[in-house]
Parts: sequence; structure tokens; C-alpha cells
Amino acid sequence: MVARLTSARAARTRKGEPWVYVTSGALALMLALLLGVILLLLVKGLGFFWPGELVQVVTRDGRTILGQEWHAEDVPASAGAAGEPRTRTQYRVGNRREFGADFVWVDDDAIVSRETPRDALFVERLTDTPTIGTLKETRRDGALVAAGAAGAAYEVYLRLADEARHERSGAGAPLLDEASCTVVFTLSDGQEVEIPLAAVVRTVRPNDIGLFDKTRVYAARLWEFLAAPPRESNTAGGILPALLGTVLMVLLMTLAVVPLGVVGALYLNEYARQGPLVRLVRLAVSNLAGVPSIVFGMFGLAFFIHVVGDGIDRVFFPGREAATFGTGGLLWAALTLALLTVPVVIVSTEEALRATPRAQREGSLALGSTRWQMLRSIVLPSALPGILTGMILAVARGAGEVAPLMLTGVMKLAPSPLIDGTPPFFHLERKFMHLGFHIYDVGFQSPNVEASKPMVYATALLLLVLVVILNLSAILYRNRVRRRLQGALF
Amino acid sequence: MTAPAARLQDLLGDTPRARARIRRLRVLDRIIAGAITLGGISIILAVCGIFFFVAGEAAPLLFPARARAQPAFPAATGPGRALAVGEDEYREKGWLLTDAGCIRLLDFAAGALLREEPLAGLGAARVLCGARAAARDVIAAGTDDGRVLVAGIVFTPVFQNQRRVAQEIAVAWQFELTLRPDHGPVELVCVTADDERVAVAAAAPGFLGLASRKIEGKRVRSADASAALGGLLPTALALDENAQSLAVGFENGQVYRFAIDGEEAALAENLHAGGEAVSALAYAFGSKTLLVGDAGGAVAGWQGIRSSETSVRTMSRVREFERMPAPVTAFAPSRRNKSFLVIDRRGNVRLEHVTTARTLLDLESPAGGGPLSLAPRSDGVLAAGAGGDLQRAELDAPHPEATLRALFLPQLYEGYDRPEFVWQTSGGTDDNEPKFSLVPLIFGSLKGVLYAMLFSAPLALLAALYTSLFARRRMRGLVKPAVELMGALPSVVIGFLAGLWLSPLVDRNLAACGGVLISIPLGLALAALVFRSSRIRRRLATGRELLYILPFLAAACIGASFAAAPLQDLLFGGDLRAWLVDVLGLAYDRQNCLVVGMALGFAVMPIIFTVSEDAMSNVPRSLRAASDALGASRWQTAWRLVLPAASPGIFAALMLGFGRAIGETMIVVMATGNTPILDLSPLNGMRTISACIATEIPEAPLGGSLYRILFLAGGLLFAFSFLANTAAEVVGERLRRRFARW
Repeated sequence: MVARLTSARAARTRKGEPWVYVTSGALALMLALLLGVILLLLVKGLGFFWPGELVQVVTRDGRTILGQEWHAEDVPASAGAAGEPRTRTQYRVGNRREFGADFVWVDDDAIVSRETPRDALFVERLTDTPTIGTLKETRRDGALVAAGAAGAAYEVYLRLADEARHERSGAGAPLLDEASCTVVFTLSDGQEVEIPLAAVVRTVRPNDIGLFDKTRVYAARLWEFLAAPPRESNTAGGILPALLGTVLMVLLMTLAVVPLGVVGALYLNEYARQGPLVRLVRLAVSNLAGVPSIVFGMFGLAFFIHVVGDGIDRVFFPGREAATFGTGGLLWAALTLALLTVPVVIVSTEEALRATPRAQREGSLALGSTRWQMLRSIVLPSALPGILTGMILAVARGAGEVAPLMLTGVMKLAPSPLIDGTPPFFHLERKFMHLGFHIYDVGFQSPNVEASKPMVYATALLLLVLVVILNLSAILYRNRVRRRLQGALF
Repeated sequence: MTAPAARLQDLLGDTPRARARIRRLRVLDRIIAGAITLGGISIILAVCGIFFFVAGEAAPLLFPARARAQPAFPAATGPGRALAVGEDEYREKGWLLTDAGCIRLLDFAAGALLREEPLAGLGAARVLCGARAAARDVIAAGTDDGRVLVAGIVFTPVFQNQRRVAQEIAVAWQFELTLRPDHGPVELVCVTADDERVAVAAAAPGFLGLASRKIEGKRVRSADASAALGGLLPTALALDENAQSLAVGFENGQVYRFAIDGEEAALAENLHAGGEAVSALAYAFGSKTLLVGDAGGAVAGWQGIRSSETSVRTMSRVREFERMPAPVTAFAPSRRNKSFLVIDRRGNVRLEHVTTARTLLDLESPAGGGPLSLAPRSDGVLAAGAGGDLQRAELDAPHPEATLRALFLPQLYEGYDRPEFVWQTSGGTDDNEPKFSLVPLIFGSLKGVLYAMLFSAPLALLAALYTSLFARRRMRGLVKPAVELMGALPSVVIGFLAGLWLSPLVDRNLAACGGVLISIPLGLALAALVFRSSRIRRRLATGRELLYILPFLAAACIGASFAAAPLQDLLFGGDLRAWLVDVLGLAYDRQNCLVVGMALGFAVMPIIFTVSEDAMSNVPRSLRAASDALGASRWQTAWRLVLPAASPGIFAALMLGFGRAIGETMIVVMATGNTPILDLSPLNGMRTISACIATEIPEAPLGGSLYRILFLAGGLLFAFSFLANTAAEVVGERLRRRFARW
């Protein structure tokens, strides 16, 4: 408004105008940062599942390298001599057991030839890094079934691998030792590896298949990521346990935080005598929303685990060697996060309670209702949207928090599932996996960081999507309710 | 509630049913009121009690050490005089070496003498002196015919159903060493032992000798250092744990240190202690500090200090402990930390701590001067009193190393040459003392906040200014939710990007990244100049500034990344990193504060933006209209009116950002190297309180010093952020009240 007014004025009112442009630059930078982060996650997180081209290069010293082009960069100045800037490329060659390392760097000017062989295979395995090579032969009980890299032999291999996979999923646990069918691959340096067919998860010929098939592989990989447990110490496979752990933990937290927050807010707003003390308490509660989450984690560790949990163990499980409740677990993590997020619910519930028109309250009382009747039938229904918003915001905050969980029961690989067939079916005392912690653990504690990086990007993207959906729904819901309320006022 | 209830009664008619219903309703109402009040108060108490609980976990750090006397063991020494005592780690059984030449094994629980074992090979000789090893139950007795008799006492736990029920005590082995070939008397002896070897040193006027032997072996390695004495009278001896160093104290107050190497004992140093006769010597746990007590009651700690000129370590008198009232007679170092017991001739016993040089406890034993021992777990004292009694007391000094001084002031640690702030909770070896200075952590937290604020505050505040005052309404409607989204990004995602993507990127392109930091302000300045000197501004619609500025920013970034390599070659000899290290002396860390500042800044930007934008938007329209009416340009209105009027809100925004940044954990854990250093340089990392808690508390033993100190650090963190938030809240409240008038 002001802007339009001043723009209509004479030139003297435009003094300092360049500064306005500087401020707009700040905003542009901020938005660019946000956009950049989101784009980065999208590209890196979603690109991972695409079956990339396999490239075979021969270097000047006669080495043959078959793999995905992973990364390219300038050779660091200290390593290269003065003169032409050189570049080098990192190839993902897989076969960590056979080659010792599944990534190699090759100077680009050392490459003699570069081609994309059609029969190059990318074989994902159950227990090891992928095998990248060509098919040599398929065997059953040691006897040759089919030989050759392409054509009918490839078809036979695919069919047998499919059968083995079905057997595996039917039998439950993989029976690698008893596998009768094996397959032999030739690697780029000429050595051969023989692996049981049952250990093959997926075989792709990325150089040979078209866009449609690639999309199918993409979808299958994406589905595996969402719906399968991790393989190869979290660097491959899916993240289902972490996703489940996150969801269960957040659900449990919501169950705890909503009643706590609503009762707290009802007391503060409806029952407590308003005065300096209540003002102080309100200030303290809203400030607690800004207290570092790690402090809540410490509280959870010291109080829930070591006071309450040890107490439960002493009373209900005396004589057990290992601690049951006196160690980190789902319940304690959820309660800790509930404490962490309860200020959010209290504040937004109070806001909603205060927004209930006084006239309606008095009308209700004038009709002879008791205070509880008035609260139940007038105030709480009209405050429900505010309570829900608070809940969603609390859930969004809770879903993204990791630091307190590290103290109260999150694990890189949960030893036993949270839900299983043994009573009481839900095991609140067990340790669990969590998307956020998964990011930290796989990205920073994993033995093979380079190979697991794409997994981390995908996991981060998933967590981001979860949190953003929760937040967006809270924001949109709040806006809609606000508009409705405004409409009701006039 | 009476009036509405009465009306209700009228309405429903005065029937018994209606009355019952109303009563029910009223009771329900009261029950619910009670329940909500109770629940609400307890929830609020619980939430507000967090701080007190966290602080309460740290409180035992500052509790004083305590001692509780236990019943004495009467007539424990039998006919002789006690020379050395010891007990097992459960404090159930003990032993005593007497000058009558026997080892007496005692059962404290039953108060009974178990056995009396004579020293093997004593024969007709008399025992003149005795000593025990500091860390083992190994004793040595010197005889009047030049021999030293050595014995090892072993405690074996007895298990029943996998639970320990008792402790067995036995003299496991004995042997004798001939120290003086001339069969003169041995008047002073000391011994040290590990699992395999025993080494003894013995002295008498004009004689100083050493011998060592494998417990299971036969070969004796011995050395004679009598020649080095030069007529001085030795009064105290101490061997270090590895038998590599022998300290000898003399009547004139001097202390000689001999370096032992196999069969050689060479005089390494002559420590000029005070003038009083040295009366007791011992090495503290870890053998890096030599404790010297003299006849004047002074107790001092000596440790190797490297002098700045020669860089040779020499023993220096660096610690003075509280002076004992009478001549010091013995030390008993702890086997698990740097505390030790000291006793004087009158029977005053004190528990001291080496590093902090403070007295933890002051006890009195009824009779003085006798041998004493500190229990293996440092939780008890055993002292032989006069009259043959054995005095016992229970000690409780769980956190000897934690004092406010140790936590917040520089400390001289063993192995260091000057007092320093060090956070190092686990060392390579067990006897490496933990170093708990909170200063590097607090410094690290503040350093992180500083760089985060440097990065985020200007950006967020300027962007807020633009959004609230200059942007079109539709633009505002887009920007605000976008920034809220930014605030909702989980910090673990930001931290991971900083650690795995940004940090290698900056590492590879340090020059370009530094260039961008410089070129962006330059680009903005250039945009402003171009704007001033051209006619473009006539064509620009207000509210579209963003479109105008974007090309300049893009050009700045691209220009910086292209110009970086040639500029680097030209100015910094081709390698900026090497140049920084060589010319400016700045250490470069891969995970440095440029990265952390950006990541943390990204995390706090939304909160600064949102709060300050609200504050600026809430400056009353009438004020702005008045400014416009007086002919101010929109920038003048913004700069001279809105900013000052909204300054409390901006302060509140910065405070909230501070509170958020100081407590942020995952970003710091992932994007810094977590090294606790005191260096403000942006090119290296730090270790913050929050990251330290997150990484160390899962491994900290429950109730130990580290655990409690981390809780203290957590309490500090809580206090920091709570204060910042409260300041923001109070200032914001004042702002709201100020504008309520308009």
C-alpha cells in the first residue's frame, strides 16, 4: 500500500531506493537456499533408483573398468602437475569383495576407449555389494545349464533367478547354503565369481533396456526402498523398519501429548485463577518450546529410563539379568517427545480456547449448564480445530527430532520388531529404528559411506516429505478454519 | 454455580428425579474440575520440573566427600608393630604385615583372625622395615641381614549360583631377594609389582640397591646405586608402577630420581625440595606425579614440566597441598583415580586430590603414624593405630575431580606444561585422568552461534524488511508459508546435507566458496550502483525488485566460481588452503565453521525472519502513513521509522534465533569435527555442549562424574536458551503493549 502511494510521488521520495533492492536480494538469497535444498534432495533422492548406464573404459595401462559413472571432478591441484587442468571420474564398479573397493577413480586423459556394452549386467545381491559384469554360465548342482552372455542363456538365467526368488520369499529365510543353482559372472578384469541364484535380488541390463523397462525397474526399486527391510548393513534394500518405527513412535507420542496438552491448557485457561502466577507459568510453558531437544533427551534418560524404568524392572521383573524397561525403548522415546512437544499443544489449545466467543459461553451458563457442560458442548467443539492444529504441529516437530531419541532408545538395527506374534504383540519396551537416526547412522557411521550416500538422500527426502506434508496440512487447515471463523464473525 | 443451578431447578420442576440429576451433574462438574486442576497442575509441574530434575542429577558433583567410621578391629597386630596393611575390593578380608615377621590374615565381617603366616625364609633374622606395592597386595619386608622377603596376597571370589558369596584370602607366593651382599641391615624398603614382575628397592645409611624378579621366574636383576648417595642419609623411597623410576628422599630435604633400565640405575635428576627432611614419598596413580611429604608437614606434588627453552622435561614442584600439622609419615595412593591418602605422625589422615590440589576429607585416626591403605575402590580407609588396633572407615568421594574451579578455570593436568582448558573424557590408558573443562564446550557452542548468526541474521532481517514493507501482498502470501516450511525442515536433514554434501563441496572449492561470500555483497552493491546511474528505475514497477536483483545475484555466483581458479593462482600461489596455513597460520579443517555457520544459519533463519517480520508488520499503519505524508521515501520510512519502532521485536527474533542455535544438536554433530578446541577461526570446527551430550552420554557410566558433568552442561544449555527465550518474550510483550496505544 505504502509502496504504491510512494511510487506515485515525485522522484525525491525515492531516496534510498537502492537499499530496497538490497533487501530484495536478501529475500531472493533466502528463497534460493530453500529451493536449492529441496531441489538437491529431490534430484539426489529420486535419481538413485534410476538404472544408470554401465560404461566400460580401457585405460592406458591396460586396465578394463566396467561400472557406473558416479562423480567427476578436477584433479586436486597438489596432485596434478602444472599445466592443463585435468579431470577425473569416479566409477562405481561394485564387487567389493573381489576388487577390494567398489569405487575407483580414473583420470580422464588416461582413458583409451569408452563403450557401453549391451550385455553388461548390474546384479543386486542379498548380502554383498552389487556385482557388475557379464553373464558367463548358469549351473544347477554343479552341472552346466546354460552358457553365454546373451540371448537364450540370459533368458534361462532370468527364469531360474526368478524361481529362486519365489522360493526364497515362500520359504521365508534365504537358504543360501543349500542353494542348488548358482550363476557365474565374468568381471571386467577377467576374474569369475560364482554366487548362488538365491542370493540374486534383481538383475538389470541397463544398456539394453528401453525407457519403459527402466521405469519399471525404477518403480520396483522405489517400492523395495519403501517396503523392504535393509540389506548389507543398511546400505541397500529398504527402510521399512525405520519408517514403521517412526510412525509408531509418533502415534504413541500423539496419544500421550494430546490429552496432556489439552488438560494442561484447560486448567490454565478455564480453571486456574488468572493472576501473575498463571502468567508466569504461561511464559515458562511457551519458553519450554524453545528449550533444546537434547535437554529433554537427558531428562528422558535420567527420569523415564533410570527412575521409572528401573523401578518397573525392580517391581515387575526382579531377577532378570538384562534390563527390560530400564533401558531405552519406544515408550520412553515417545514420552520424551511428548514432553518436548506438549508446549506446542498447550499454546495452540489455549489460543483456541480464548478464541471461543464470550457470548456463547455466557449463553450456555445462562441456560443453566454447569461449567463442564459448557466446556464440553460449547468451548471444546469450537476449539477442536486449534487443538488439531497443535497436534499436527507437535507431530511434525516430533517426527523430525532425532537428538533426544539417541538418548532414549533408537538403534541402527533393531534386534527384534516392535510388533510380532508373541503377546503382548506391541512391544513398547523394545528399541526401534527411526528415519532421522537412520540418516545420521547410514550417512556418518556406515562402513561404506560412498555407496550408502544415495540411500541417505532418499531417506532424507522421505522424512522431508513426511514432515512437510504434516506441516502443510496444519498450515492449510489453520488457514481454512481461520477463514471460516472470520466468516462466522461478520 | 448456585445461580444457574437454581434456575435449572426451576426449569425442570422440583421433582426428585430432577433434583437427583442436578446433584449428579454438580458432582460430575466438581469431579472434573478437580481432575483437570490436579492434572493441569501436575502436567505443568512436570514440564517445569525438567530443569530442576536435570540440575538435580548434576548436584551430587558439589556434595562434599563423606566418611563414616566403622568398628575398629581390636588387637589386630598381635605382638608386633604393623608395617603394611591392605584389604580386598569388597572390604571383607584384609591382611597386615608385622615386624614380628608374620602376615596376619583378617576377616573383618567376623572380626576374627583367620591365619597367621610366617614370612618364609626369615629364619633367625629380624624384620626392620616393610612396605606394600601401591596397586597390588604385594609386600616386602627388609631384614637385618641384608635380605628383602617378598610375598603376594591373592583374593579369590567364591561364586554360588553365579553370584559372589565370599572372598578367599591367601598368601599365594613368597620369595626372598638378597639386596646387600655384605649382609648389612635393610632399613628402608619399597616395592612395586604388576601381574608378572616384582621390583624392590632398599636403602640403609650408605647403601641403595634395587632388585627385580619375575614371580614365576628365578633370574634376579639387581643394581647397586650406593655410589650416587655420596654420604647422604636416605629417609624415604618410592618406585613407580613400571619400575622405571626410583625416587629417594634424604634427610637434608633433597630428592633424587633414578632412571632404572634393567640392571642400570642412573641418577636422572636431583630435585631440590624444601629444607625439611623428606619423610614420605609415593607416586600417584599413573606414576606421573611424585608426592613428597616432609618432616615439616608439607605435602607437594611434583610432575614433569617441559621448559620452554630446552624442551626437556624436568620434575617441578607444581602442587602444594594443605600442610599437615605434624611430620608426614605415609601416603596411600588410589588405584582408580588421582586421589591419595596422607597421614602424619599425630594420626591426622587426609584424602587429597592431585589435579585439583584440594582436600576432600579430613579425618583423625586415634593413633598416629602407622601404615594405612586406601581400599581398591577408593571407598575405604584402613589404618593401623597404636595399641595394635586396626581402624576402619568408609569413604564416599565419588567425584574428586569435579570442582567449579576444575570445570571453569584452566587446570594443570599431568603431561601438560601449563594450566589449560581441556575436555578429554577418555584417554588411551586407564590411568589417563579425565579432563572436564566445560570452557571449550561453552566456547564451541557460542562459536557456532556466532557464525550462524553472522550468516543468518543479515539475510533474515533484510528479507523480513522487504517482505513486510516493500513486497506485494501476493508475494507475501507466498513467502511466509515458504519460510514456515523452511523452519519445518528436520535438522537431521540439514545436518546431513551440510556434512555429506556442503562440506566436501567447500573442501574442493574453497576459493570459489569464499569468493561467493564476497561477490554476493559486491553484486548487490553493483546492482544498487547500476540502478542509481541508469534509467532502468523509471521502468521498474515497485514490488518487482526481486526480478531485477536476480540476474545480479546469479552473475555474482557464476562470476565468483569462474574467477576463483585464476585468482587463486594469482594471489595465493595456486592453493588457497596451503596459503592460509603458511601465511596466515590458520589451520584448515574439512568440517569447518563456514559449513556449520551456513547449516545452523539455515536452521535459525526462519525463526528470525518470522518473528521480525511480524514485528515490522505490526508497526501501526498510522505511523507509516504519517511518515509518508511528511514526504519520506519508502526506504526512509523503513529505516528511520519502522526499524526503530520494531527494534524490540527484532531483538526478540535474534534472541529466539540464539536460543535455537545454541541448542541445535544434530547439525553440529554431523557438520563439525567435534574437536574441543579454543579457536575462533572460521576454518576449523568446535565441539558444542549439545553435540557433546548427544555423543558422550550413551557411553557415560550411570552416576559417574562424566554423567553428572554432562547433566551440568545440559542444565547450562537449558539456562542459556531459557534466558534467551524469556528475554525475547519479555521484550516482545513490551512491544505489544507499546503499540496497543495506537
